Amino acid sequence: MTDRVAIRRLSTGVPGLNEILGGGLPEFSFNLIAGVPGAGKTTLAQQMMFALASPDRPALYFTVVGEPPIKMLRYQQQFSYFDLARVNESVRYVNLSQDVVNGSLENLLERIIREVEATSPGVVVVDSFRTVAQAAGRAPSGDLDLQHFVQRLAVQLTSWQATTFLVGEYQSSEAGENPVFTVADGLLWLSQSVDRNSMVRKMQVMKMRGQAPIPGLHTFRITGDGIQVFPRVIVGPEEKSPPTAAGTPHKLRERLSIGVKELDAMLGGGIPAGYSVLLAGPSGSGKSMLAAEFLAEGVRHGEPGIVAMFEKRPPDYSLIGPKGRRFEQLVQEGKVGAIQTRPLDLSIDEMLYEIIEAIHRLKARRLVIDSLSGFELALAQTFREDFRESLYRMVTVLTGMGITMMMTAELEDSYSDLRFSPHGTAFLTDAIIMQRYVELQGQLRRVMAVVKVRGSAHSKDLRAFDITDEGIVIGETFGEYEGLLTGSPTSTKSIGRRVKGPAPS
Amino acid sequence: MTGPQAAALQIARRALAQRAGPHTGAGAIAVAARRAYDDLIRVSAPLIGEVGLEALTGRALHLAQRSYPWLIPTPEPEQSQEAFAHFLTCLEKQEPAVAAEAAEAVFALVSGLFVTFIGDSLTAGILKKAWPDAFADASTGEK
Repeated sequence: MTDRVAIRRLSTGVPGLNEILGGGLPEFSFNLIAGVPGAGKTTLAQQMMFALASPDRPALYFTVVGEPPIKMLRYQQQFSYFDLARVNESVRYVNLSQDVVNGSLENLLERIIREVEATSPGVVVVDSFRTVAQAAGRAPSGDLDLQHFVQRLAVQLTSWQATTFLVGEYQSSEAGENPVFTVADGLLWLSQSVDRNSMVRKMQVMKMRGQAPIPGLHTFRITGDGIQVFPRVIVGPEEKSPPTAAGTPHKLRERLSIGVKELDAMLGGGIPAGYSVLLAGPSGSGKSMLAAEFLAEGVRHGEPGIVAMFEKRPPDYSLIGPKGRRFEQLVQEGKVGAIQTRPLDLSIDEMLYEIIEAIHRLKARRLVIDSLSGFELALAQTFREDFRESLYRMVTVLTGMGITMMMTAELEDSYSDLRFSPHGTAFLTDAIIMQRYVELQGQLRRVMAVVKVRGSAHSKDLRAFDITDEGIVIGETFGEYEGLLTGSPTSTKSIGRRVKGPAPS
Repeated sequence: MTGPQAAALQIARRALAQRAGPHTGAGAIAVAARRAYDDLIRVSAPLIGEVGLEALTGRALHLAQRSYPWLIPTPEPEQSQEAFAHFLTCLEKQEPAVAAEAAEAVFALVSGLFVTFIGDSLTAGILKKAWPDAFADASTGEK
């Protein structure tokens, strides 16, 4: 037993919002939904209203001069949450336009209270409250000022046990001087930014009394189902603790087969579970095929996997190698989940949300991101600018969940410098596998090497490999040559003379 | 005439008939139209605002002028409240049959505009609440 009052947290009906609010919306709270025109304020308010309203505790939606109610109703009907059968039943609209135009704030307050007393609503929305605030500026002397109006409104609505949302168009610069910002228990700020061809919507919980919201800007998307928020994933100190996967956790130090026996041996016995692997190589070197082998091998061991595709589609994998057809079948059978994304306006948190959702759904333990370059291109411009930081968060969160992930990175073969990622992200990964083309004795040969496996011994060999009907086949080392990566290999076998290999153009 | 238009006309006819009672003169039709309009305001104003209904009514009266040229627009069309009062004055000057037909047409046009903007379901909800007697008759008629 405790003397403290328990605040019930209401589920908002907006995917992802409860999480960023810190567990839901405090019951009887007095909230402001603020932002620029077109940010999604009305949609958010309506979606929450339909989720929270019930026949016993209906919702009252006060429309004030702003968006004409007839248009608001017309457009809101397009969302799946808008249940026509509940309008005038558990969801009631009250137009206050005339009251605002004709009356004083005192009269307006009385009208609102009258409606609230008659309905006993669980939810009250005033849209747009900005219009009410503007009316306050025109109020005759002796009338309530805005501050007293807001305070009395908050007291009355809270006393009537209503959870309230005031919806208003505000600029962030107004936050310090407007009384409604002080009185409100919760403040949700919506914004949208356009950068080149991409538009990104963001939401910030600027305050939420009585609980701890997730700080920072969270991206959200508006679809036919309304708003979906993608909570910003924050990397905590616990993220690098022993894996606690969505499915069964990997045993510590467990090694996972990559699907190519010789490569497993090169890695020192497979990939340590929960590691991130960067697979870098030029176009056509076989990265996607090796990634597909990695997932197919997981399925063979009863470990579902996920592939996030940014360039290819599942049917394309049938073209990448002899086992590709089987890979497409794994996707069709649901043993490998395929995430295909919208290009150009993606946020890292949206991607992460989709991946984590798929991990939980499939109980997946392996993940492929094919490719990092495609991923970067799919992001909205604003997120490309801090791609490294975003990738760091994603890798840390996913490997922290015990997921073993492989990321492909396309690199142009350069014979003057050795890089593993165009994003400077190689240091983020636990292991690096490199693929290259080399020209030897008039042939273009594929070679592969393990560059690093954190905390583990691994092969230092540069091995030839081929893509055959059996998949990837690792071949011989090039012990008789040196300088392969320079593009000018020389034979060390020749006695008395050194055979210089032709340099690629 | 489409099915929905015919149905809207029939509902308007019943609503007006209920409000006119046994009286059949043009004046009685104008009084019935006023009552039907007041009922519509009472129910729809909370949802779309009085101004919203007045705007739709103004549009309906404009459309009705094609069939009823004697519906001369008011000098200030945005004053839809006055436009409806003017419409009633015009009605009173017509033959009872013409007045009844025009009143039905205007209300059918208003409900048609409702459907255009907020859809069948919400419109049906408004009309049933505003003119329950028109629908009670309809259900009896269907039996």
